[in-house]
Amino acid sequence: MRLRDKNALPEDIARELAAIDAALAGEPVEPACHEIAELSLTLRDARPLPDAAAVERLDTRAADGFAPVEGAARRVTALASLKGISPRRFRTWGPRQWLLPVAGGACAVLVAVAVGVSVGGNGGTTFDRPASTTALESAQSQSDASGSPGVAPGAAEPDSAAGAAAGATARSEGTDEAAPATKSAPQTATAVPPATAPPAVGLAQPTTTLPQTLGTPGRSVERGAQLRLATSPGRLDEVSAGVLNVTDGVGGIVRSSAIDSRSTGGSASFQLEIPSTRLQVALARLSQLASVRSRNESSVDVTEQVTFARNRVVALKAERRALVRRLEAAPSLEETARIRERLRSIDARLRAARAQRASLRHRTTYSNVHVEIATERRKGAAADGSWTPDDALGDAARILELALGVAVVALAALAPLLLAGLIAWPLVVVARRRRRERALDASARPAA
Amino acid sequence: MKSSSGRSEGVNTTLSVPLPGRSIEARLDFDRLYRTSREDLYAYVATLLRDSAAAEDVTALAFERAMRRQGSYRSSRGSERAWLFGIARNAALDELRRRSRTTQLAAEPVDESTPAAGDEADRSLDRAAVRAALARLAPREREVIALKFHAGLSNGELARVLAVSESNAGTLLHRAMQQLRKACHETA
Repeated sequence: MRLRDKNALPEDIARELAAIDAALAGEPVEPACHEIAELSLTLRDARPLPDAAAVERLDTRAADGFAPVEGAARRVTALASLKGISPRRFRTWGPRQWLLPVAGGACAVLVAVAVGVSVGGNGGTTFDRPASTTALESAQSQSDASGSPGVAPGAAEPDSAAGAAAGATARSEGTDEAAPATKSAPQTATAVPPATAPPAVGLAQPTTTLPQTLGTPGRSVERGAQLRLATSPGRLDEVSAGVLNVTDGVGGIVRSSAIDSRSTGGSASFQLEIPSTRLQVALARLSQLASVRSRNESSVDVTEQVTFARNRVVALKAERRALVRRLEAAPSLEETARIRERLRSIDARLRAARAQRASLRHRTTYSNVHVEIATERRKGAAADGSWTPDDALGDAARILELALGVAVVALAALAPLLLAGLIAWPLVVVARRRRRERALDASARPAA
Repeated sequence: MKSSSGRSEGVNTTLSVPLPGRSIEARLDFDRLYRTSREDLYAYVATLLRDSAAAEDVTALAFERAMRRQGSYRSSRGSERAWLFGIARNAALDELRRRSRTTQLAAEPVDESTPAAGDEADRSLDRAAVRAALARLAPREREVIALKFHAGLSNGELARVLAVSESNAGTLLHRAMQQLRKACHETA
């Protein structure tokens, strides 16, 4: 079976078209197509031609590079003369030619702004990167306003508790030495960030997720933290002073400090006691002083120990009061001496219980924070911490990385737009073509 | 030709073939294109717009656009003239759209000047009749005839300008000629 060529024209049409082409080319035409040939020649002769003046105007505009508009032409000529470019060449720059330099300039400005903001926000090219107030700090400030998470109001010790309850406890005198600490399972939450983690990560994210009970009111929690910082050798003293300032600022106490400062390096360690209510604020501020190498936090729920110590003091007081009453009513000297001896024993135990209670109160009111500062020298860095060509190379690499990151982010943001544009472009072309075709149809004039 | 060491000897002619690519295509001889197409383009646009002043402006606009877009011309996608007339068509249709938004088109009257004597008079009468018949055609048919007879495009170029296949262009031309003949008979 022979397939018909889809592009083949019917014979009569093909013959007519061939006659038209032949007539226009001045070639002989078969007699059957004589009329169409005549019509073709007449049509060619009847074509509208521009008059001499119109041709001259067109030639002038062609010689002038077909300047689009008079005003625009003047502006282009003036601009071209300023830049030393031929006006004719200048005019050949269409919108597409302008698009590339404009888009390139915009991208350059975008990258420059991003780099500027980033470098400015991180404190320049120094080893350490102080940052602004973190979300952690503000969250802690909010908790300060709402109440103490370390020692809850409900945990306040009522020294003048009811005597009946105290008396009941006093009867268990022989067993009160059994420490309840063994019954209270300490709850500890510790998180160790990787040593290579960037400082900003340590600032922005709390490294400890506390159990729910530790932060609830009515619980007594003993908190502790360890912070390892790293700085350049030239900034050890500055960072050490910063640790002291932060401690003072949050109302803390420096229990001990050791600073070993040398020209080639050194180290420092601090044992601090920070009010538990201000612990997170203090850690956030300390973390801003230098690069955080590690940050550990621990929390132990000592509510049972606190309750036990409080009850023990109350019970011993009640027992003492009972002994005093018995002493006043003692029938004999022998009985009096025996009661006095027992009172001395009670007094000693009461002092110990009060000391334990005070210690627990202190441990829950203040958090132990151990800060270690180590000095690190980057490869190729100067001993005195000054800026060297290696530093410059490192900074340049960082800036390039940042610029690349910004470019990737910008590309990611623009990709959907570009995709939408690519999808929409054919539709736009089709719509424009249809509008033009409609304009052609609409130009039909009613028959005369 | 001896080739003892893998090298040609005694070669005294060199064939040089231009490599296909943009560098060659970009060398559009715009001056020649302008000179050879100026009047054809004007004739096509004037037939489409039926306004000599507007035709002159649109012709200039088409050449301006073409000059600005010289780099986009690809010889593999058609002849220079087809490319130029495509640009001119868009410019003319844009002009029609613009005018349709502002005011109703008032076409120029068909030239019915007094014919000369003899054969020239007959030809002049024929041209006037054809122009009158042409003016009564639908715009699309008038455009096809203008592209073929006024602009002098081949069927392939005509298809390229109208963005249709060549056989489709032939069919359109055939129908337009039928309508024109019919209009001529009615006029007569």
